[in-house]
Amino acid sequence: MNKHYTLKPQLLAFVVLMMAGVLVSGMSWAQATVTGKVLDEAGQPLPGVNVVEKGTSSGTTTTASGEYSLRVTTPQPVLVFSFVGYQPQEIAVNNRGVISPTLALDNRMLNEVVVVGYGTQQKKDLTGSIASADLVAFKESPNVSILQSLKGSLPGLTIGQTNRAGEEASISIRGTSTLNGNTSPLIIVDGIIFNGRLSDINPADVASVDVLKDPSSKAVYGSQAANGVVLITTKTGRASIKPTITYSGNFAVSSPTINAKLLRRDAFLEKIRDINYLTAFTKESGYTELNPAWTFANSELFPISVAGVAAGNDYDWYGDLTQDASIQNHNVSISGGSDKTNYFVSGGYTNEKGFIRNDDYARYTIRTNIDTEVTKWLTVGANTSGSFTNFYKDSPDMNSIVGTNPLVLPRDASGNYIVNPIGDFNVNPFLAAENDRYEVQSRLVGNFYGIVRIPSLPGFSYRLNFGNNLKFFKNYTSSIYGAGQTGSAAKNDATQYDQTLDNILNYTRSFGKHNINVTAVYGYNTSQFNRTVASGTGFSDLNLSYNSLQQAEVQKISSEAWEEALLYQLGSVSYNYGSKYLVKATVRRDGFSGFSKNNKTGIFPSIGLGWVISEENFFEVPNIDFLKIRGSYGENGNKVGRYSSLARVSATDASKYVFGDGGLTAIGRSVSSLANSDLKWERTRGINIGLDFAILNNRIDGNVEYYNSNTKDLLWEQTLPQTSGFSKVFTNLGQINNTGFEFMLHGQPVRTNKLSWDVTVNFARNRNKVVSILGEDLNNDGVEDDLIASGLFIGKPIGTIYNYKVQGIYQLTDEKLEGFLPGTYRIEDVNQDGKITAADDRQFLGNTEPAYSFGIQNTVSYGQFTLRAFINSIQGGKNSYLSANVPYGYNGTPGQATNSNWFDFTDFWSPRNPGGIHPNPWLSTPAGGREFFQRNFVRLQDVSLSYSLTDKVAKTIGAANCKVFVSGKNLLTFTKWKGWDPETNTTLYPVGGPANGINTALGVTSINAFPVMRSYSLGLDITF
Amino acid sequence: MKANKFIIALLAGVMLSQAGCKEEEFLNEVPLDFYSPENSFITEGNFNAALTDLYARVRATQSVDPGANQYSEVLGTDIAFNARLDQSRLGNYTVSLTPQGDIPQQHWIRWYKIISNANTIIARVGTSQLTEAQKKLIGAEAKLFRAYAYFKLVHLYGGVPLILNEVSSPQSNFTRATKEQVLQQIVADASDAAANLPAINAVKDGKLSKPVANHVLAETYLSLKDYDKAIAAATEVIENSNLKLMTERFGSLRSQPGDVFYDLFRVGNQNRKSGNMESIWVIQYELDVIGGVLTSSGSSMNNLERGVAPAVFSLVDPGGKAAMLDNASASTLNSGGRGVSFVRPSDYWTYDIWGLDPKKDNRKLDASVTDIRTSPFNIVRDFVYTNPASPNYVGKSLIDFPAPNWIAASWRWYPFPSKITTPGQHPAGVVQDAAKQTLKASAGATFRDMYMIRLPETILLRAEAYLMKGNTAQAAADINLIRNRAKAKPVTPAEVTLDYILDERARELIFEEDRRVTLSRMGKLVERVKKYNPLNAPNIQDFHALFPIPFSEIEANKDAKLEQNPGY
Repeated sequence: MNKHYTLKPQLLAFVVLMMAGVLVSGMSWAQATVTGKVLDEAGQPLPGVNVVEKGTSSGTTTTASGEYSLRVTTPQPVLVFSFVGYQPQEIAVNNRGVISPTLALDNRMLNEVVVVGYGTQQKKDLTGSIASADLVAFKESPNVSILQSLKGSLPGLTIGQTNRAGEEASISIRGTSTLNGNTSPLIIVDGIIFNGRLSDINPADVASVDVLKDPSSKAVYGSQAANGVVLITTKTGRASIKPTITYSGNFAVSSPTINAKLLRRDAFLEKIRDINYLTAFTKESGYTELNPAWTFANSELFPISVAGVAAGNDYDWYGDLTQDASIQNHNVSISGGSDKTNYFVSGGYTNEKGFIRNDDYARYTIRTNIDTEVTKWLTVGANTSGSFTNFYKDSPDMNSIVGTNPLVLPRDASGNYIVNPIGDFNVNPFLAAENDRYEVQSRLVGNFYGIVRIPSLPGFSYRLNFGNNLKFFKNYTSSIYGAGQTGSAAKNDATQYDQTLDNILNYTRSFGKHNINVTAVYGYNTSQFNRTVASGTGFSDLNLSYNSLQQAEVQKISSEAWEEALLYQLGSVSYNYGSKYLVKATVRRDGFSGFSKNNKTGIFPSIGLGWVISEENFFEVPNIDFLKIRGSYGENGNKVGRYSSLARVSATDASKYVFGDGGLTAIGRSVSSLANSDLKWERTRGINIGLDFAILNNRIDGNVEYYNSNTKDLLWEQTLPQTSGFSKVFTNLGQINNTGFEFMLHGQPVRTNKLSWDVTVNFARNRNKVVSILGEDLNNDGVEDDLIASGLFIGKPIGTIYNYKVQGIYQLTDEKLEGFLPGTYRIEDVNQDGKITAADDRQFLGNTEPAYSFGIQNTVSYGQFTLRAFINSIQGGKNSYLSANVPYGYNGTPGQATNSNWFDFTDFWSPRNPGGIHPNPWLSTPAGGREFFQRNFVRLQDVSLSYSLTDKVAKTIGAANCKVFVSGKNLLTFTKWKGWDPETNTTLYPVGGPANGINTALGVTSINAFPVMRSYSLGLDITF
Repeated sequence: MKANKFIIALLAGVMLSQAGCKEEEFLNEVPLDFYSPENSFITEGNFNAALTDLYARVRATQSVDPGANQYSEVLGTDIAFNARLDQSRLGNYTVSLTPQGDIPQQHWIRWYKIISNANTIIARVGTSQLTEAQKKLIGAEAKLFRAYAYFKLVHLYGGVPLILNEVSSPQSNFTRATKEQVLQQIVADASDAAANLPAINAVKDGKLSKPVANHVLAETYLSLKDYDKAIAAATEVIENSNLKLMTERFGSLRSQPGDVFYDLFRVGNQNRKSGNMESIWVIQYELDVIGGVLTSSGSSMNNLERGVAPAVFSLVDPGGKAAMLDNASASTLNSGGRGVSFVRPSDYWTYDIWGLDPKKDNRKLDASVTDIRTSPFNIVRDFVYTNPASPNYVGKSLIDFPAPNWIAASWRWYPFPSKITTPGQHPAGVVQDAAKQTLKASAGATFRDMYMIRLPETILLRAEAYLMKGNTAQAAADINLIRNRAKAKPVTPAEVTLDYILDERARELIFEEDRRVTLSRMGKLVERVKKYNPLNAPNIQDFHALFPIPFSEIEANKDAKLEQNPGY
């Protein structure tokens, strides 16, 4: 062994000389390598800690076992250790080769930086209510959109379910503050307004999500902020770090949370007998014994199904038209930087297969974020991204699947698809899969910025943002079965271009304990949209698919276009004295093209105050580390849809006519809406009072919020008597009040060497109420009149249900009101006149909105293992969170109910099932009632278990960090709601149109149901 | 410091260049793909487009689309009832005619939208720069639409709000006018139209003309019991308008077996250009042209065939095999096209008005009751099995070999008038196999133009006016104009009563006239439903003579009370 190290003296001398030469010529001073291990207070290694040699561009990060190795280059090197959530440390090397610091946990409140719109602020200095998402907690869930990672985890933020591949979830903040105004929060990505699908953003690219909830925080985005603001910041490279390459990926399989199936043969035949119980069963037996003389030919079954009864058919349409759902995500990113330039480059691929056959979705995303300091006074940068989404083929909709029955087959004897399998014009759902389809949505984002600092004016900066967002929508289809099998094809092309230009002047200085920040913004946002659709029907063949539409016998073209513009100015001042007394004041002026001529602009002021009591000398309460009271007051606006103030004259196809045989099309036009020359901004004015605290040596921290806001000049489509020729008009009226209470509590009950347990609980409750509508008291009862036609009631919530009260189902021998039959709802006849009328027999039944919601996040770490579990719940209290739950689908008439199917959770009334809870929907009654149920649920929404490789093991595969994980989504749901998942919500209305404008959650309905999915996934995260 | 100055100058430059644009200009809103009322009622072309919209809207209300009207013009009257015998589709008056129900609401909002659009035209003609002649002509056409809409409304609901001005701001203070006021307004508008509209041979096919106005006047004067004026207006149509009853074979199928009554309802035979001299107002349909509504791929409008023809494709022969060749409907008289049996003619129409006994075999009719309107071309009274895969029954009559599922469910087949369908003339797109004449499930539309007003109706209006004046001889003479053409036995003056006129209307005009409005106008709805409609007789009550005012209208009309009709 020794022999190996024996060098010839000459050679040794040469090597030494060479090294000295290199050192002298290259670095001017000797290099040394410092190694070490960074630990937390519990003695656990801290991976990912930034280690930088102060004043240089050299730096590194710690490995999974907290170890690092860095060559220092300066004469008196000082190392800076920093990590999010820990207090940074500077340590002079002093010729030591090993430095192993322990980083102290930072007060989460104090130094966390949040994005506040046109800048950032330290959390401790905030005066408003801003919630920051814990993205780490949901990193292991197979989520396609960032929205799914926020679901239930932030108080006051409500995210809807998604149940189709690539579907965009709904989002709302702190309840409903508008009637017909825009209800979506404003989405800002990297400082630029983002229109459209958030699922165009790769969740792996997102660095932070901050949600602005209170009037003063939102005020910087005054005009569109009434529904809250979601600020998304994408990742950037870190200065002076060697390139880091990260791969993360997961694979998930899914199946519906509700294992409902369409009826199969025996149950289906039983249903038909029950529909015909008057003849299929004997009267003497009370319709419980089969009438031997009755056959299925006596039902309304079409001959093909009657033949199917005889043939013993039992075809599983549902089974063959659904598939194993799955999700795959793959992301690769490279980030790093020199001392002047940072970069982050990433690529992502997502492939989702939905539950219904062919419901496939794929997304490719790319991103390059780069910034560089060009000179001392100029920094330029760009956030660019592309998202390319493919919705692939046509999938059959649930309606067409339910519109089949097990007695008929999809193919004829020679194997060809039967176009109308049940013999009516319900089209074979398999045919959708035969369509040729190309549906692609592409988005290109180029946000460029320059920051100018004036050396002689310290603290001053000017930033110019120039945002460009270009979207392409292409939807091309062709179907040989379309247009009654004459063939149909269409090309639908649309583009949208959004442009934002912001001039941001900022001045930040500290004079002693006085800290001041002044921001002024001047900018605009414009959107332009164009669509052209060309379609044709009647093709001799479709071998050229949608690419030769001129071959259609009937050709049709249409086009549309719109544009809108927003212009704004903002002034904002924040001041604090020693981070103890905080003030922030903002005034924003907005103009939007969609309002009437004289009301295009609005001014929205706000002010916020904060007092950090724990900073006061007199504050000496033991175990309270931090305590702040803050309050804010301000006004925000809500804009209206473009062109809402203008009267429209439309030229629709329905207005066209052809005079004479063989004549040409005559174009018809008519006035379709009324103008409102007074249409103006909807304004929400409110207060927010909050308390932030940290106690027990920062082991427990949290915040409590109370808010109360009033929205006036509500944008509202007022219902008109159609006697006037118009059904509604856009107007400003009334007032809505929202009050709410939220808290978020975080604690670390266990924190030992090996084991730690973190819990975060959030809770939100919102109450809204209509304060005023028209301000009229026409019936002179001293109380303002309700606007019943529009479903608005003074003093009651927006989602109030004013409808008939269902009191069970009429049995055979019950005495019934005229026109009602056994198996229909028994509706309470309030005025006892023997008739059910909308005028006299409706009553208040409750409301549709949740009473409160909560989420509980648990994280348990033991050694290399981390277990996370998230529980989410929405509750309706006494009689809120109600929704109608009635069987709805292909069963409006006995014929439809006989020939098409429904799901096995439909527990309908029949003489043999007198306790059935659902009415017979094929029976007409004088007043169609609906029964309302609560949708309360508690859900184990996300669970994950991850294992991080130890450094040693990671190194053997050449990685710095490596983590494998398994996770589950929607594993358990506790609810009394019948049918599909309680969160499956849609704007589906029962036959006869929207009653009170209340959405019907799907429940036991059969059509349009796309089930909520439960999934299991496996994933890997690796960094080199 | 040089650099500083440079930067500041640069900054100032950038900001100034942006501030240069005017805020007002920047936020000005210009619609890109729709018009405004201000720029839409200027030229003659603009006004013609506005009138075209009215034609399209009337077509939509007339088009028996099942979603809205639910065939309420005929269902629940004396001539037809819900074939499926259940409560829906006016099977039960208590269920279907409620203030919150669809039927009253659809009729109301559709006719009032037509009134609203007509009012806009009438108001804007006045301030336009059209010539006086153009103003008169366009105004007259719009007024006739308004008159027609009020005529429907006043007979369906009684006195209704009378709105004669353009509504350009939200209004919710409507009150009901009296029936008399509404009728007088119709007279005023229709008189204006009668004075200013061109003759029928001077307008394009499908357009309103002078005889339409006079027909509406005649019928309105009947409601006002002003029989002389009714006779005068009807006479203007019958004798002075270049109209005459067709007595010889004509049109697209004239060389094929049939008769002149059959010809009236074949494809392409309704417009005056086809040689049809008795059509007064024809609702225009055109195949595969935008604005023509009918398409080869199947149409959601004009579904008379689908609604009225029996669902013969659902029959199974006594041997248990499908009754039809390929298990499909066919473009034949035997099949009646692609029906689904919603609307079934009552026995009153099928037998009583022809003097037939439903219990007897009516396949071959007695010569004494023969009338071309009862010929096998015009009323299909038999069904013949056509499935060759069932050799025992193919070619046999359903009546001789009843299908078991027909015995159990009579809706699968019943006699029907052939005017609802277009045998042999279905477009290729809905035909499954041309050689076999089989139809796809997408068939069901009636692929021809539809009569809104045909001369026999005007003649029967005049007969009614004569009768009401006590002049039964003239009344009989008028009715016999129609009966002679039909080669029916003439009626004697002594036989003429209101009921006889209603019978004659049923014989001649089933599925053309708005039967509900006719009965309502005569005050005969309840009486005759009780007499002739077995499904609705038990559930119709006196107050059902009028529709309820839609509750949605009463509720939204917050600034005044819209009185509900009694009984609801």
